[in-house]
Amino acid sequence: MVKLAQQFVPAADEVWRLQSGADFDCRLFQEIAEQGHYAGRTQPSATRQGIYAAAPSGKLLASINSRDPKAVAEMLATALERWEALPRSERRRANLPDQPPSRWETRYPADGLVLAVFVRDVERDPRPDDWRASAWNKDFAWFTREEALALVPESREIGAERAWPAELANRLTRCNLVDCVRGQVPPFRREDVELAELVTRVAAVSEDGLELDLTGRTRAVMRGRWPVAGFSDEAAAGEQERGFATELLGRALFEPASGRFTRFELAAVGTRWGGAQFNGRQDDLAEAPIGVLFTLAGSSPAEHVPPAAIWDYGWPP
Amino acid sequence: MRALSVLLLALASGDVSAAHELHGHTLAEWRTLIEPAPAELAWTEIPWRTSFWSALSEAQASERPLLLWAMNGHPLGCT
Repeated sequence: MVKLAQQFVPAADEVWRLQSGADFDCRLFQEIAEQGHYAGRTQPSATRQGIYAAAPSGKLLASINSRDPKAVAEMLATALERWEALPRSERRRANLPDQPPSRWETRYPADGLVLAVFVRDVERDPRPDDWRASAWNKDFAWFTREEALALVPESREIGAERAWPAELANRLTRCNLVDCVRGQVPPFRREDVELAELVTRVAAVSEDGLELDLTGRTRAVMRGRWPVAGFSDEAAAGEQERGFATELLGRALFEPASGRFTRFELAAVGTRWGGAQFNGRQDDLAEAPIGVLFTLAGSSPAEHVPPAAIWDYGWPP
Repeated sequence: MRALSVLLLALASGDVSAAHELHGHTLAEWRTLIEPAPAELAWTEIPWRTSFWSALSEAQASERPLLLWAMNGHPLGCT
């Protein structure tokens, strides 16, 4: 699969903007998708999710929406055969714009703090007898330089503490302490946050910087009417409650000279309950344990993907 | 008894953080439980570009075919 993929220029991207936007790349994607596996489809949804192989001209080579590696590999092989057979005059796109579309990636806080966030069901017994047993999801949490510095005690003395600014503790609780293990879930609303307390404490001072301990507690609960079983109960949404309550424990190393965190590990462990429309909890609505891990993100382009709830950060556009 | 042993070890080593536990596990143990194993990250061996646009520009310039993985939510982030 990897060898086949290397014969393409591979990209991963969010489908909603591409299938509904008006920028050049969106319109080209729409042209490609309407030759593909979901062409013209509107029910049960109009999604154009999937894996597409295409020429830059917009000519579809092959497409599929499948988790089966064998089926995807066959699709890629077919696409390569069609690419080889495609006349050179039909491979390239005329009049490709020079300027990329405006995207949140341009707001990547290179001088701030970027965390990778992993979410997984923990200590479940029994586990489902399918992919859900080992399901996990990934997201990111971004902090501007000013926000990151606001997490560090002003005093360098051992025992000095600093409570996280309410806005940042609230944002982490709303946007990252959510049950996306089996699928996307909307962030909590500000009014859903009942508790969001995080404290950073200086545990030691070394030549490497400040060794920091992190502790905290959070709780967010949303109530209302919404579906919890994908499209099957969409027309008959019932009264729902979903919540997420955690205790947090972590440690970090902050380098005062550069103003950067050089190590960061924070675990949030607690319970989740309820479900959202697309997070696959329709048969798992009772309270259950869950874990979230925050670590420093890597430097590769793939680690520059914006947080899923970046729209709720309150950052100016 | 286990908690007391951990506390004594931490005091002996001068590492205050080591005494900390959350729901019966240390931070290192929680990291192991939650973080994906290398086998769960095999798909990251493919050098995915993070936008359709960037791959399109590169494919056009190098005259290669495009491969696009498009999902609700960014496939390299939260889907």
